[in-house]
Order: sequence, then C-alpha cells, then structure tokens
Amino acid sequence: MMKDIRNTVQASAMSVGHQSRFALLMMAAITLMTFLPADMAWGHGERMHSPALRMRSIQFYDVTWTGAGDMKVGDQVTMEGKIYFPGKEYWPNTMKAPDVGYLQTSGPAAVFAKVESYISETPMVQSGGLKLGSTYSFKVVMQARVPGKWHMHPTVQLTGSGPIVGPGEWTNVTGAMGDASISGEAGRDKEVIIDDLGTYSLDVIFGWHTVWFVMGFIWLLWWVKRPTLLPRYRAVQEGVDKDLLITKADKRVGITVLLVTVVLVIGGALNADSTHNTVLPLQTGNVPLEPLPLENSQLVVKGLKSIYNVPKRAMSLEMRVTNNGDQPVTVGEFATAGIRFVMDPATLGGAAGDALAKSIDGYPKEYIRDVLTVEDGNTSAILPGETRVVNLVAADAVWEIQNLSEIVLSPVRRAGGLVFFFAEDGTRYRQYIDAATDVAYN
Amino acid sequence: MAYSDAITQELNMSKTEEQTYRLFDMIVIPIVVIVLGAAFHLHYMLTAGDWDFWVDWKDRLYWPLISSVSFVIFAGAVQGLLWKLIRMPIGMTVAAIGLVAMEWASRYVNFYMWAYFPLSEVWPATWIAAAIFVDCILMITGSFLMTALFGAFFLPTIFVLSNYPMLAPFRIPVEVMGTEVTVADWVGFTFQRGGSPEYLRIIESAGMRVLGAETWFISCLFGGFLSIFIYMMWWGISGVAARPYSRVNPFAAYMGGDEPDDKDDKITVDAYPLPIGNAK
Repeated sequence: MMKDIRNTVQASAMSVGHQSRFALLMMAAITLMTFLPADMAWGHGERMHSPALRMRSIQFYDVTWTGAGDMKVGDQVTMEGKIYFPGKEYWPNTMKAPDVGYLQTSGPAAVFAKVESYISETPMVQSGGLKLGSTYSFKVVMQARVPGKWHMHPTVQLTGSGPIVGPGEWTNVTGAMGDASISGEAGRDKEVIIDDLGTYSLDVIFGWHTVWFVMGFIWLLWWVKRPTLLPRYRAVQEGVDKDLLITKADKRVGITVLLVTVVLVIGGALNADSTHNTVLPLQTGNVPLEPLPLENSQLVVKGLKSIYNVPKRAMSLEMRVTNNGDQPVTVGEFATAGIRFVMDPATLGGAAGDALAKSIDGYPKEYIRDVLTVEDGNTSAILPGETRVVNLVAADAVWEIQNLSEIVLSPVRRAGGLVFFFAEDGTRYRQYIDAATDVAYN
Repeated sequence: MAYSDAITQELNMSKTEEQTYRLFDMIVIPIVVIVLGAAFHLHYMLTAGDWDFWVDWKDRLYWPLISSVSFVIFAGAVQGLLWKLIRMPIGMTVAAIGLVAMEWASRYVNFYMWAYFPLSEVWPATWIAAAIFVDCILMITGSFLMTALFGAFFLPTIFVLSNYPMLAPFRIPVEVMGTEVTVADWVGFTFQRGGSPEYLRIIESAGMRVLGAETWFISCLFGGFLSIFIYMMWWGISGVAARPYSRVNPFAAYMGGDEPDDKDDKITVDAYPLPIGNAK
C-alpha cells in the first residue's frame, strides 16, 4: 500500500517536472511574443453593431465633412448633417428612448480635439434631451492633434443604449503632436490665459506630487534606515521592550512629520483658495434640444416587406406609396446605416436628377452605391393621387462589407431606412420605412 | 543604512545575522512596495477608477466619498499588517506611495503615450499626505481604535485639501460656445472619451441644499464616517493574514525527511500566533 502511494507520488513528481518545463517554455514564448511588431488597429467597431440596430435606429443623412482628407496638426474638420430618430412605433425595443443624448465622434481616442459641437444650433458642452420621431441638425468641429491616418465618425451617445455611429471619413494628418494647441481665457475676469489646454497647470500638479512623494519617502526612510523586517518581527514575537520598537526619537520625528503635513495641506489649500477667487462645481445637467420643423410631405409610405438575397447580396424592399401631393415624385435613394443606395441621376432626369446628384456630391465613396433599381423597371413618376407598390432592389457587396448581411442571423430580422423621393422641380421628400426581412438563398 | 540597532542588540544577533537580515530587507522591501503598489492600483482603478482618471469626474460629492472608501480598504489592511507583524507605522504610506507611483506610470504610458489623452486631463490625485497623517496618528496613539476615530475619519478631508491646490485651477470658470463651465468640463469636452459621454459622469448634479449647501463638508464628513468602519473591518481582516499558516511539505520524503501521513495533511497555525486585535 505504502509502495503504491510512493509510486503515485513519484509519478506525480515527474509529472510536475514536465509541467514545470512546459510552463517555462510557455512563459518564454509569451514573453518573446510581446516583441513581435503589432500593426495599428484602424477600425473601431463601427460595423459590429447589430444590423437591425444600425438600420432601425438613428438615421444620419446629408452628412458632409469639410476639411477632411490631407490635414496638418492644427487643421480643423467640420462635420455637419442631420439625424433622424424614427418614431416610437419603429424604435427598437432593445433601446431606451433617447431622453438624454450627447454628440461626439468615434475615432481612435483623443487624436482630434473637439472645438465645437451643436445639435440644432444648441451647444453640446453638456448632454441634451432628444425625442423620437424628430429630426435634428448637427455640427462638430474637430482639430487634428496627432499625426496619422484616422477615421472620423459623428456619433450620438444615448443613455441606456450607448453609441450610434454615423458614417465616417478618412483623414490623413501630418506634422507633429504639439504643433498646435487649444487655447483660451478663463477666470471671472478672463485673467487666466491658457496657452495650451493639454499642458495647463501641469507645473502645479508636478510640483505638489513631488512635495508629497518627498514627504512620503522621508517618512519611510526614517523607518527603513534601520534593520526592518525580520529583526522587528522577532522583536514583536519575543516581546521586547516596546520602547525599542517605537522610540522617543521616532515619536519626535512622527510629530514633526505630522505637523509639517498638516501645515502643508492646510496652507496649500488656503493659498489655492485665495489665488482662485471664483471656483465653480463641475457643470452638468440636460440642455433642451429643439428638433427641426416637420417637413411638409404629402407622401404616405408604408414598408410591406423586405427580402435579403444571400447569393445575390441584394436587399429588396417592397413598399406602398401614396402621393397625396400635387407634384409627381420619383424614388431616388434608399439610405440606411449611413450607406446610400442611389439611382442613376439620369434616370430621374431634369431638376430631380440634378438634386440627387448634388445630394451625393462629396459623400465618401465607400458609402455610395449607384445600384438602386425598381424590380419591375417602372421608374416613372408616381402621379398625384396615385398609389403604387414599388419594389426597390439594392444589390451590392457593401451589404457584406458593412456586415449588414448579418441580418440573416440576427434575432431581429427587420430592415429600416430612409427613402428619398424627388419632385420634378428638384424638391426632395424623405420618408422612413421599416419592414420585416425574409431571407432568400437562391 | 544601518546593520545594527537597539533591537538587534537586544535580540543578541550576531554580525552575520544582522547582515543577512539587512540583505533580506534590501531585496524584499522594494519587491513588496512594487507588488503592493500594483495590486493596490488594480483594486483602486476597479473601484474608484473614473473619478481618478479624469479631471472632470473629480467632483465635490462622489470623488472624496468613493475614493476614501476604496483607499482605506487596502491601505488600512496594509497598515494593520505591518503594525502587527513588525510594529511599523508606515503601512498606509507604503500603500499610498505604491499606488500613486503606479497611477503615474499608468497615466503616462497608457493614457498619454498610447491613447493621447493630455496629462492635464488624466493626472492622478495624491493620497500620500492623507496616508502620512493616519500613519502618524497610529504611531502617536499606538491604538487602532484611536487611529480609526482620529485618523481614518479625516482621510477624505486631508485627501481633498491636499489635492485642492492641483484641482482649483481646473475649477475656474471659462466660456465655451457661450456656455459657462469649469476648465475641467472644458478639458473633458475637448479631449473626448469615445466610450464615456458627458452624461455618464457620476458627479454631483443635485442634492439637498441643507447645511448651507457645503457639499465638500458633507461628503468629507460622511466619507470619514464610512472610513472609520471600513478601516476597522480591514484592520481586523489583516489580522487573519498576519497569522502565518503552513502545511507539511508533501515532498518531504524526497528531501531526506519523513513521508507525511494523513494526520499531517492539514493546515495548521505556526508558532508565534498573533492576536487578531491590536497586539501589545
């Protein structure tokens, strides 16, 4: 019996030896892997949101980037456009109502500095309340800080739901970090000149941290300059005279260090208080945001169904359009998740075609696809008083590139988006549709 | 650095013993400070992280409260451990220096060099003044109860006051797009955090305007009150850690010893058992 146990223990000991060598090799391998060159991660997950979420929540449209492309550190890019919140009946029930929202950008960290941001011309220093079924304009001005190739998206953050990322544009920033800064004037009478917000008050911060590190090290050195760990441990266990463990000199130094600490703390705080005559608590709270006026559209559009065809990489959208206006209208665009599927402007012709061509001018090419067709080929205008069932087809690899084809596997198989109609005089009408999505495999 | 002092003489240590123990000090103390600092940093960042990361989270209400509670958990335990084991009133200072040093390393390498956040946005608060204060109270009183009442209670107050000279320049007003905010708000607005919008900040937004609306005072008072009990609890827990436990070496037979039997296969308290409370 004893022999068996011993054998087991011996085998176990050998096994431990093998494992130790294996663990050592693994540690060496992992350590060496940290020296492998790592490429920059350019993306930041904008395509990884659920397709139903991207297609059925906030719709960014008419987005423009002024100043993007080749830039130097200090140059500014202005992003402007509109955001449409579908009505309550369409809003995904997995998302909370947008009672509190905040406008910012998505991109790699703070490579740009935000100079200005507005929703419907209201400054967005703080967050604001947004409403479903409304349209807002937005504007964000960003200043390049760090050289590199950066992707810049307008983004609306919603409480309880997170970020909804709009379409992005590439910037190629050259120069050196520090070539430009954010500056301003602060204080009650604007008496404080801030040359560079990124380095503001660092001398004070470094100074006080140094003071406290020095004080801390003085206190520690006083104790550890003598034999420390094992002699004192033995002394405590063997009950030596406690006056040897904490001596009178220790107490004198301790009281001195305590007094110096208290004087520095109170003196520093009083001095700071007298130097800065007006200090405020951090500012927060909601700002009210007014939506844009409702568009005077006489169109009634209802999404009937949609089918995503996997091998053709095509989404077809069947909708019923009733034109209650006094002008004939023609479908020109279907936009969803920042992707714009447009018809050939020549198909619309005249002022309508010009308006469509103008609306897509300057939009990032990766988000524009001129592949929108009508299934039965009837691209004629929908006349006043007419009701027509239109089946739009948008066939393009962009559905897969942008991960929207994942709708096939989505727990919510519904597609949404904005359909743009154009009147003969070039007036554009926007309608939101939302329809269940079937999947076809042939 | 001395090799000999009254304690080693009282213990009748030989010269070799003294030198060996001193070498042990010099090897172990830096390792302990670094390991404690790293562990404390992890704990503090997980519990009070955002309030310490960002200048526009350092508010009057939650920052002193949450920071103190988080700090005193770890620092109180380290202080208790060092006091009980080696009767040194330096535990909180050791923990604070380790924490703040690790914070600076993290802010510089991770936040500034890697993610490009400026240091004016991500500077860490200092805890060293508050730690020295509590360590000195422990040394003077020699009592953990007195330290809890007159040391831990003032932790948030000393913390706020010692950081106020660094914070005050960020609390002056500035006009941004026609809205008056603090410089700290402006910094947070300008150097934006992708995953952390403005509304996500857990900061003072409203509250009962009692006691003259002195939010600093109220949060420091309540934070101090909480710190007393948390300090006492973690001082007690450190007492468990201060008791050396061991089990018989299962490989003893391969080292020339006896095969352990079932009776030996249990964890026992070693010699030198220490009282959980304040040792004599």
